[in-house]
Amino acid sequence: MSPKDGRAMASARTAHLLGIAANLNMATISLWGQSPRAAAILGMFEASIRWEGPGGSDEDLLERLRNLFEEAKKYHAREDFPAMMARLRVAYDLVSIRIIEVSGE
Amino acid sequence: MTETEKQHDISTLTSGAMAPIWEWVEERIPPDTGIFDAHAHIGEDLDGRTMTADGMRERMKAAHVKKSIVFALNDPNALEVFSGPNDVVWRAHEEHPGFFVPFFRLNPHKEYEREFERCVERGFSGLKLHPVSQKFELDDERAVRLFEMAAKADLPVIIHAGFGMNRIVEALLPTIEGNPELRLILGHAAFVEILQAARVFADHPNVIFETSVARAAELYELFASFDPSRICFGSDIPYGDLPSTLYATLAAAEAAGIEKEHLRGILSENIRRWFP
Repeated sequence: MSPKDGRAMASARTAHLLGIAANLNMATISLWGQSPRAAAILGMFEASIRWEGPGGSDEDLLERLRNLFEEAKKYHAREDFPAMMARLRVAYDLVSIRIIEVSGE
Repeated sequence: MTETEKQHDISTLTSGAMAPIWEWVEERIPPDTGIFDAHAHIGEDLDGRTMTADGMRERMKAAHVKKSIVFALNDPNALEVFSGPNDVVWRAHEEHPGFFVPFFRLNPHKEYEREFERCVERGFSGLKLHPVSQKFELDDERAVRLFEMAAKADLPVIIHAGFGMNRIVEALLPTIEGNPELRLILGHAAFVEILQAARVFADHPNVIFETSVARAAELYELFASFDPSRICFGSDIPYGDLPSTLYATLAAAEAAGIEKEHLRGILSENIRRWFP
């Protein structure tokens, strides 16, 4: 892979992860604000982590996000706000840190 | 499961998909770090959130936290000057000696002088102000007067500088410049203006940043641009929790290349300079 290709891949990964972060951020804020659309926005986040990202390099992260989200959904259904939010906060931070790491590549 | 039972089932914060996160956190806490949580609540809030002294102690023990600054929530019983909720915090301090650093909370819109005096005489260690819940600007003259009273009494002040805030740096700067002895803790690290706050308050050593519920990306900005000896960890229990807020702080610090000696400071020693 040429440096140019590497940069293009890093940009594609960043774009993909930014989309995930945006959906997760919207979902978290809507849960905080008890929006009636929170469940729909959680669904958007779920869709954004369902499939492999550019080049498959972030599959380890996506798998962690899927696991955290599955449990967050379970705690959301049980109305256990602290357990749900802990998972969504950590998920957001995992994505953010990965974006920061990719930006330096 | 009742709300109380849910709140006390703290194993849900470190099990399942959170288990590897918590393991990662525990591995990075320097040995013999008596973690100091600089931001937590005891009492009840208008929004239904509650936390008891016993609940705090359970969380502290589970997460290796030795001491916590605690203060009232936006309590429905705070009809005038928060005297009832402040008493709840004081009782927690008395019933659990050595574990809580009690701050009292006030509403700048109310006649606060008597409650300020009562709490100072009683021995409270600091003052908490919440501009969003109590609906005031940080440069409101009634708030500025409280900052001046706190400075005169040598009482640290923690302000909510997080969710819902709009003006922090510009509104605080004249008070900080006019009262250089005022010891100020920026709750939630002033995350909406974090970089500008780091720039502007760099030359004001009595201003420190507290990390609770700021996101890792925002904390990365802080760690990458500010003196780590003026950053302290906080959880914002019951809105935040210890595992996820410790993760945000440690993950951001690691990404920013913060050294282990500074981690001990952030998690404990920096805030202990004010509350040994």
